Amino acid sequence: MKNAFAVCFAVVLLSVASVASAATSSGTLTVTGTVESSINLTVESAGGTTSGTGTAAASSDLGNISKFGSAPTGFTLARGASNWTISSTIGVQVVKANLTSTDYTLTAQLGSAPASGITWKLNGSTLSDSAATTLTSTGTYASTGSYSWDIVVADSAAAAAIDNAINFTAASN
Amino acid sequence: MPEEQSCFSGIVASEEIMNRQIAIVLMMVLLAMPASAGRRRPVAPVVDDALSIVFVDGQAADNSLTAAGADAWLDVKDLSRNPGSRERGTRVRRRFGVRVVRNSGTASGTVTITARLQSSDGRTQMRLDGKPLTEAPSVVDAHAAIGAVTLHTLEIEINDAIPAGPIAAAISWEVTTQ
Repeated sequence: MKNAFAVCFAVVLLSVASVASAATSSGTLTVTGTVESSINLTVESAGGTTSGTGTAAASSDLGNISKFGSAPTGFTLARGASNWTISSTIGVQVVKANLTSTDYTLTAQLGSAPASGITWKLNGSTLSDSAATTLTSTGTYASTGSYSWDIVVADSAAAAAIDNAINFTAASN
Repeated sequence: MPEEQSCFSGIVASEEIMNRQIAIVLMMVLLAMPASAGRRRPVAPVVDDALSIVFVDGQAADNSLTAAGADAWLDVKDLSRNPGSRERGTRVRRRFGVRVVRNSGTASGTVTITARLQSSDGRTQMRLDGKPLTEAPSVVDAHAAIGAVTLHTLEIEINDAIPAGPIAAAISWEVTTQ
């Protein structure tokens, strides 16, 4: 009989305890989105006094250049019979993300028409401001491609600034 | 013989008393049990003091969070690697608020907020306030004041090797009074 009372008392205590337990509440935060494929081009190196390498907008200052002067930093100078050429390289890297493509095509185009008597070349091909020149159609992702860069100055060219921009475009294959 | 009868009847009387006592105790037990376990005795009206969790958009002009009751939907929309970024992978951060309210409207006390990764497509890694989110509950706020909004940052990291496409995950939140 005492046992029966003890059991009943325990049940009463448990019932009271459950009323006094901590309150809880829950909620769910659902997260959605869409991953897009992308590639990213950076200019890793170039002749001249450069800035912005490692980004997509680098610049190179060649200073004052002349046929019988010294070559700008990072360039070599070759004198011809009626012209002279300064030569260097430009390093370009393309990386991919969330993309199954295995290689890319890289083109280059001048930002504006070159000054008279000035010729810009990349990989031996003359650049223009009207059409893109293909530098490679089998570029390797995440590897810096080095492209020869020549600026040919005719002896007849006027002494003036040769400023220009080379616009690179990479497209996944 | 009469003594034996008397004795016999005396035993019967004692068992009846015990049965009554047991019945009384059982009735007390039934009355003390929650209403779901039996018919509730008439009591004074009880104030609903239950807790609710509410999600609040934490980024002005973002509108990426849609709340519905205790649940919410955070759509981070299109994700792609930041142009010019040297980081491996893509990271996106979203700031949002969590408020715990009492249904009674009172704003007193503190709660513990925990969160865990309820489901995931495995295409992302998520961090909440810098801590990796896993299937095990982790304390987000040990002393969140009831009624106040606490801001949290969800960071979603996508590996470059993951193919393009949708991502989905669900984070379960739980609040407990202290």
